[in-house]
Amino acid sequence: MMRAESAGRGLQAPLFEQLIRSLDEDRRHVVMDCGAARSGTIALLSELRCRLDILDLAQCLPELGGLEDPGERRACLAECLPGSGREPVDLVFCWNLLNYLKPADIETVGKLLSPLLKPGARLHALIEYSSPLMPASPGHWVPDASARLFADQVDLDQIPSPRYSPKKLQSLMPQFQPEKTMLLGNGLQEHLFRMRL
Amino acid sequence: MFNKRENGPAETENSSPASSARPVSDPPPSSSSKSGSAVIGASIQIDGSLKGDEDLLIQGKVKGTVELKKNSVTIGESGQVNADIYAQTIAVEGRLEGSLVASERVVIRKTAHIKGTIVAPRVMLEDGARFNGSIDMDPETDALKSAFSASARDSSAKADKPAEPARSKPAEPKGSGEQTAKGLL
Repeated sequence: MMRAESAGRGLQAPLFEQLIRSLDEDRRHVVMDCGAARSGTIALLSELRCRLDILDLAQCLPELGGLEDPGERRACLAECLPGSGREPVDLVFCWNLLNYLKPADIETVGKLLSPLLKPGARLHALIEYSSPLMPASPGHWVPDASARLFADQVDLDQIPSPRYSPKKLQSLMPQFQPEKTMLLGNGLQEHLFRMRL
Repeated sequence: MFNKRENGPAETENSSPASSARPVSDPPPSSSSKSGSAVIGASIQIDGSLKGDEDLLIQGKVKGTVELKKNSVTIGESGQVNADIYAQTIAVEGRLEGSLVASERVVIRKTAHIKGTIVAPRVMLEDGARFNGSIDMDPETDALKSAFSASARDSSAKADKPAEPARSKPAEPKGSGEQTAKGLL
């Protein structure tokens, strides 16, 4: 979970670091951040030839919380995602969002995202795994120049964590193939998925 | 990666530890300390195409297109803009819906609410700002080239037909009127 100590030292997320280092500086990249706009993300990606799409999907969580009908929940999520016909996305950051979505909503996000991505595009996610509790609302992860992640705006109230397993995520998002998974020192699970060809 | 670009470091400004690892250059002054600019006051509403050759501070409501390609445009905290803006540098403290195309940089202050597209080789965002949309920081993007290369060659021709950034909202004037920045003081 987003523990207070990570605000000081930062969280080492090896898969994220490898992912950033693997990006070719001469090639144009399209990155989609499902979280809110953060200075560190923009600064990190500004080193590249890059377009960054910022969705801030957490904005729709309060509305989603009041909806029971699956169709309405789908429409709510769809409203927050850009339409198709845009330059396809190479890389997706999905750092806190999935912890706060029901399994059916994760399925919806997978379906809505996949037409926007290039075949072989990657999705990087951080999932609460070891701890049975997590902050009551999603905070932010802010990368620094060396791709270490710093917790920001951590909610001190806590709620039960869904602790989605790699297998569960794989079944909910069949469009994506798990590439690597790593349990981090703070109990978060780091996932790297690749869009199936 | 990390300082892959040869033309200088990216800029950032926030209170989190993330920013301390990066070199930070001085951001442009906020609108409260800005002087010598043309000002669209808080009670002014403009609907149309706005062009000129001096810096501009918008505290009122602007709808349409703003082209000050060799100058800076600041949307002050009380500014409410629904427009496509072309300038050398753009700073946003207020509300904007539209596209921002800057040849040098865009600065998004923590009070800003933006929905739209930003095209600029340098973008600085203060944490706390609300942004929803796309930020294109590719210095080789066609949107930047078409907006500024052509204008340098023949700005008068461009005055009749504003440049259209790729993948952004149409840059056609959203209103019928036309005003210059001069005389708005």
